[in-house]
Amino acid sequence: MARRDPADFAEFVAARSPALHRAAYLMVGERQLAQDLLQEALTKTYVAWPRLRDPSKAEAYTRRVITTTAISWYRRKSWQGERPTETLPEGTAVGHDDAVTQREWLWTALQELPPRQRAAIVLRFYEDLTEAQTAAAMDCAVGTVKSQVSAGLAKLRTGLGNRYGDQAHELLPANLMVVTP
Amino acid sequence: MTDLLKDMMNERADALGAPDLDVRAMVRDGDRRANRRLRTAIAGAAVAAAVAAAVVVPSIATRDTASDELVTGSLGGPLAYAANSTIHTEQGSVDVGRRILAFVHTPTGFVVADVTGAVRSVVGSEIIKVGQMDPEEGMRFASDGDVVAWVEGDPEGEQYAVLDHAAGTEVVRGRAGTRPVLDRYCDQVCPMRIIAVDGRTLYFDDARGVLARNPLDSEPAELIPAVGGERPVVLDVAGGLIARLAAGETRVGPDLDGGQQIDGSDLSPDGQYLLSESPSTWDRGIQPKVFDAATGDAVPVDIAGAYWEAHAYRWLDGDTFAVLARDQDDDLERFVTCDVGGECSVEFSVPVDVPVLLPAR
Repeated sequence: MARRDPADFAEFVAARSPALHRAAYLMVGERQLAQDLLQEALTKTYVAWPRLRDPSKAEAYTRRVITTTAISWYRRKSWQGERPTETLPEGTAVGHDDAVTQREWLWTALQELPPRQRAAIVLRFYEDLTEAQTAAAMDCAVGTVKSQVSAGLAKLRTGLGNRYGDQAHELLPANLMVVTP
Repeated sequence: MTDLLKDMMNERADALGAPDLDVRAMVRDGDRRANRRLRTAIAGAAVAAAVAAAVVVPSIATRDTASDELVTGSLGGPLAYAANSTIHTEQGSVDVGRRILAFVHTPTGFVVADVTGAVRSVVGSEIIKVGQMDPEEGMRFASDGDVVAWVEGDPEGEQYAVLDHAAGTEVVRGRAGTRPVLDRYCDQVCPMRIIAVDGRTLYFDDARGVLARNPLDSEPAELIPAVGGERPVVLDVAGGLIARLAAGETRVGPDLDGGQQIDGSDLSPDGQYLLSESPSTWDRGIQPKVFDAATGDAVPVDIAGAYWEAHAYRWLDGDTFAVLARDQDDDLERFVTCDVGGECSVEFSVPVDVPVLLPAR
């Protein structure tokens, strides 16, 4: 059985933690929370280290722990009555620094999605994972990934539609809803 | 959209500074946890040595008296959901005492997994512990009627556990004998996964295809081999048919070769129909679709279009399925039953802010 080698593990952390940190941040929306999440996920990875000899497997394992832990943390927060307090940015006239405003709005809207929908969207469209890979990272069925991505994008689409009217069709073209494995 | 969404996420991520991590604390905490696991594994192995593999355990079930005190009522009705530690139906609710993370609704009652990984049978007011999942490996059930299966143990010592709820709380456990699936996106060795239960047969993910095993009746395992060198993603097994995803298409057939191309992932218990969902569009959320699994023909669905969003989540019998539906600005979610080719009826509603957990299919 492979041993748990702190030096190898430290090398892995140094090499991959920036990328994993970015994904964690997109899932939780807070820098400190993302860092705490990564610390916990990497600790679990260290426990599993003897069976994660290939660094790519270790990264996939850590990503899965980040995803499932992020979802469970948010479930816990919602049961404790904690809700996001941020509100979506107020409307700005179309034409006024549109790109920045749209991205700001989209970031806030992304963070207000339910955690599973948000995780699915981050894995599919930031990490560029396939549906099967996303299902493995979320520890769920492929069908669940489809429905979570679909529901999350529908909410973003609806919000953008309410805000930008017809222009939203250009921002969120319908073909994005065709999610392929 | 890809551009807008991706650009936004890339911008946000790129602006993030390097994380301030404590590797020494990871190693210290990790070693402590690993040692604790090792002690537990050694204790478990000593017990397991006295029991041959794949035998009917005389019942590890124990009365869960702490939970019994929390029971608030008996249950009934075709539809159920869980919220926090309580299972609700139209006719009652029962509090199992700990937050529920997954559950199965059987004809006899419920099988629930809580936040600690404990698996309990809930029949009326009687709650009995029947097993233990590993919360860190995710909690997932597969079931068909009263037969419920799950995975116990860690990836280095996984075993299946299966229960015929109609017969009581006796659990059969054993090693599946699967060849581990290797996938760079789950782990070096993926955790054992029970894809589905069809009748009394469990279907396991296997590197060679799908492994079918009926431990309740001590039948020999059967390998359904993958064809063409590419391992398919198996979505469901029911009525002797397998729904799988391969080369971007869903196909349904008796094995992993050929079959009818249908866009769906959830077979009815007898394999006659396949449940699917149309993707959401600009002005409408997801809607249920039903196909004849033999011909691939679409079957009319009464509820399609009646609500802004309708999520078909579970077959209740051979031609009835359950739907969770809501309108866009509605403050209620409706639990609906639909007959294939027939009518749908709303069974009950819950406020949208209730954290509804639906039963596993």
